[in-house]
Amino acid sequence: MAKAEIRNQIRRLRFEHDEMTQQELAERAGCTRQTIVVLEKERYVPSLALAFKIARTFGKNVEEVFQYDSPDIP
Amino acid sequence: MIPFIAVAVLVLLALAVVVYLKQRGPALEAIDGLPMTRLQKCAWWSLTIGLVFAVAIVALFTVRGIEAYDRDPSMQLTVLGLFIGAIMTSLLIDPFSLPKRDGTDVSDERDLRVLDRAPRVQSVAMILTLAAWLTFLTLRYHGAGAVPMVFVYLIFFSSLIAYSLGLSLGVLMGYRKMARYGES
Repeated sequence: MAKAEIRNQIRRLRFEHDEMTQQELAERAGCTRQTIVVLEKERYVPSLALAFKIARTFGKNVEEVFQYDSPDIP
Repeated sequence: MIPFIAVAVLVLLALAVVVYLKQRGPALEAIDGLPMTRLQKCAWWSLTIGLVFAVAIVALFTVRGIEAYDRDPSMQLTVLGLFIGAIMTSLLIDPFSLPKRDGTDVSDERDLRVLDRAPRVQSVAMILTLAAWLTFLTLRYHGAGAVPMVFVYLIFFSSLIAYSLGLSLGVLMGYRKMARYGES
């Protein structure tokens, strides 16, 4: 089974929200700036709780921020 | 006396680094193009300082000889100081599950996941240390049928050092694995 990928729109959304800095987003979502960096590079899959916090920071639903790309599931 | 002073200086230097890290945090270069977390930086310092102490212990026994430990009280004190210094390096990492004095977090879920997984490396480090001692003592003392008492202490303290360094190594390997494979 091919590996599933979690994509996200965090970088785009930050810029759409008055060019919010990574530090600001981290403080609002309750994580460190380093975690925002690895999330934007799609090198880390967050917990559900953190995904919800980030989505709510942008006033979006989780699926508007994070997308699940799996070659096995249409 | 000189080795004892050297140990005291090493311990003081280690303590100074601990205080400095708790107040300001070190400046280390990023790896894999990702900024290092505070925990990751401290794991590097902890591993480096711990290795300096460990190498100093090995050097001391190589220069003075294992038999000198039993008859030289200053060497016993020196070795004890070095072991304590090496074990204390784990203090650089331990407080990371706690918030800072001003209430802000220094760690988040990613750091805590890495910390949770680090003990796997600690157990491997301890098993390898014990296996190394078993091989060394068997090869050297099998014919004599007995092992000098000094090795009892050395096995215990070296296991503690492996436990301490294993935590730092586990933390560093955890971040590297996460960055390389993008795992959750």
